[in-house]
Amino acid sequence: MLQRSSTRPQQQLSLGRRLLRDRVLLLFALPGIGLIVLFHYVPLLGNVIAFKDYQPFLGIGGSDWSGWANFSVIFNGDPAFLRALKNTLILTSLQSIFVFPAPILLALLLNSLFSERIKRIAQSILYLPHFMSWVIVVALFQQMLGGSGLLNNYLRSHDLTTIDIIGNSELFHVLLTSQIIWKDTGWATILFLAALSQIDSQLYEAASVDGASRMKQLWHVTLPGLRGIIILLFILRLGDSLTVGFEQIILQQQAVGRDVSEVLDTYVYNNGVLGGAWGVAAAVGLVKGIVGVILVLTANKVAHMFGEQGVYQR
Amino acid sequence: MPVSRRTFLGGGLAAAAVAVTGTPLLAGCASDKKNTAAANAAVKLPTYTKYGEIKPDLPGTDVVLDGFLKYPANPVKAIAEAPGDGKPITFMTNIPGAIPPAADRNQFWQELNKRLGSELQISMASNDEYKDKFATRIAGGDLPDILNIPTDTPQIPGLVKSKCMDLTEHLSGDAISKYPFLANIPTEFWKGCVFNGAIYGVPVPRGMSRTSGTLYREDLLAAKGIKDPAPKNFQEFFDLAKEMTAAKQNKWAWTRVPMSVIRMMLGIPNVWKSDGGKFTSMYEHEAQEQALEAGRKMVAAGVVNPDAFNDKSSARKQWFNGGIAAFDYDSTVAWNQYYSDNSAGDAFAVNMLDVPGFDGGEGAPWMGSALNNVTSFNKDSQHSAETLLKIANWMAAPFGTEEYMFRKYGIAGRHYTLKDTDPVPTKVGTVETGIGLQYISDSTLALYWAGKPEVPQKQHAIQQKFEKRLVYDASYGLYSDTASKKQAQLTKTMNDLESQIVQGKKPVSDWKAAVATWKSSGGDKMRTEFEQAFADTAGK
Repeated sequence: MLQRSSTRPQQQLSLGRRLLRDRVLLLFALPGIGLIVLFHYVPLLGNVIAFKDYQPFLGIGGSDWSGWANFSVIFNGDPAFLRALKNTLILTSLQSIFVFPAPILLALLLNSLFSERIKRIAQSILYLPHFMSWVIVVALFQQMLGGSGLLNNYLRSHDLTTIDIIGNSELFHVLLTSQIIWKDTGWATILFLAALSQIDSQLYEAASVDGASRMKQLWHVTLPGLRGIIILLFILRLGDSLTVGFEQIILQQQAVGRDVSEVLDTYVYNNGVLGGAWGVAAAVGLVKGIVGVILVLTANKVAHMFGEQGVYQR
Repeated sequence: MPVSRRTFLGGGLAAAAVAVTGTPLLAGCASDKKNTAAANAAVKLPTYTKYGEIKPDLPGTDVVLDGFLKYPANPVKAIAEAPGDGKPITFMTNIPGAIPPAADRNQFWQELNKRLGSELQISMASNDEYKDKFATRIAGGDLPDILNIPTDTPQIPGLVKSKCMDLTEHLSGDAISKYPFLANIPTEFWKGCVFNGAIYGVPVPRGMSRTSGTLYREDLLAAKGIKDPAPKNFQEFFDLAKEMTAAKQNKWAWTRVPMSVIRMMLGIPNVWKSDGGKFTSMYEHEAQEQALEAGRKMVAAGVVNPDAFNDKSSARKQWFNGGIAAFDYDSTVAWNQYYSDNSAGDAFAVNMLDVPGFDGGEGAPWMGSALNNVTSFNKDSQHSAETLLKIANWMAAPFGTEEYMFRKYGIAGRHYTLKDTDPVPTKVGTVETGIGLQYISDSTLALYWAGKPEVPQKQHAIQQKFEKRLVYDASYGLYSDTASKKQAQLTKTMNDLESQIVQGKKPVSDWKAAVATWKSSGGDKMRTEFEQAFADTAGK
């Protein structure tokens, strides 16, 4: 995504010379590379249990091979798997439509504030929920909106009809989406605010001289300035699109039932960790990962076709 | 047919006893012992030698537990030397109460280490989270010296064969006499520790102490002018709940929908019923829909805390203790725990309702699970089996001994104060002693609460009422490979549907279709396997 500002052609050096030249930088990078290999690539080998009748007490080596048997829940359309897939797709759609644009709108709003002091205070307050764990957030929502929570206790004590929000299966997907927006929108504005600060102020001045209103400036200056980062983040979001939240959902699953709350991640957990079907869980997780990679590659390709740089350069 | 503790336990024990017969799981293992009914039935179980030093005030029977009104004066120190070998011993377990202070800030734990002669390093998780922790640590191969294995762990036979010590030579027959307090655990309980034709663990016996019923806050009911409540049918049970509900004041009768109590009222089986070797599941019983209708009625009437479906057991206990709810469904163990956690003051009093028939007469209470868990020892432990068994023996010293007094109450002055001969726990004692020792091993429980003789009296009285009518799970001790692999998942699915139905989100008529799915997804296979196991082990 980043381009060199210099147009001077790069001198062609041999690999050995370049390594020698960049040895200090490479040395600095080594611990990071080591951590990535150790915690991101070595665990990938564990995916082999998707092809095994894995028994945790026997280990990967001691468990028998089972071929594609674990994938049968996917290929044969096991109802529980299909239910999890359906809920995942519903949630990912809701999140793409409502959660993804929320920080962009908030960043634009914050950016329009003239007072730097107010802007900083607002930002600090908006960042806070991000640092709360899901256990706290869910408990907070429950204390406020639960059947015996603050809101309903107030309504009850004033002889008003109570509102069933927490534990209502019809509102569950909306509730999840709202919780994510409440928790993470402030934090997610950081990148957009950084991108906004990079837009050349002379462009606004020029537009203003040409008689552009604030809306016109937004449309013709601000949004084009954000386009690169929006596309980049959207592509990355697609890679995670089948990951719609685990802890948040598992904490609230009991009340609404699995018909509306089972997603691929909870399916993997309920089958693998609790049910002991580790192989099936790994197979579902593996397919989920592959779908994510395909989505990222496709979206990146589409971005290139429209002249954008995407996640990486052509 | 009258069933004694002996026949109940003898017929097969505990969900833990997922072992007695079934398919060999690990054909490739070094040991050639198979997990078959024949191999397991052939194991010579530890010889039972009752420790007869202490006489109960309220004598029990084969079913009812012994009760004590006072702690015996001058408790005998039953074990002379420290059981440990001087090296640290690791243990992984769950804890039912609040998280205790770590060892360096916990004087009970420090004193325990001195008495054991080895530092006991305990890795704890709350009751709600322990199964997750256990499963992930097994998968990670990161096992302590002593393991608390939940009874519904998938494929226990394979697990213990691969990871745990075979204790047969140390415990079988008279060999157990080296560990007199383990020998004091009735022989039948050991059946739950037999897998693959060998003894792989030490039982944590429960049985009657885990029999559950309607616990109620006697003090809250008395404040409403209700003394000795005894509903005679479901309608009176329901009316009582309505009387104890004051939603405007944020008070509800129940912590959760008492589906088990309703099922007991309707005579629905306790998990599996055997009729001459023909097994039927509780799910299939014709009264299930009536039970669900009754549960729905309670939810619709608003007598259950509206957050009952969101929260875990810890919240439920807080509501009951805090007076937000007046009724809870739980066992004698929880009954004592409520006193332990009591924050409502001296007036706090708990009792248990008898189970009436749904339309009158007597209901049929369910016998609790025989074992809490099986405690096994890591095959790769640096400690000898003898050392670990000596630790377990120390932990099984029964009520009335000095070891029991320390284990449950701690150090005089700091953790308890003596009221006559009774150790009354202090706040510090309640917090510091809750480190999960009761799951390494335990003696059979006694009915007792320090300084409150009325507690064991009430417990003894209700157990006597239940005794003749107890319904047993016919699958106890019978191994089904399908149950071992699928029971947890299938049960979760049925519980999920039950929750949706009683909340009124799904019709009662959905139950039949779900039972059909349950049967085809493994229920029928479980039945066949249990029936086969029953036939193979009949009379043993």
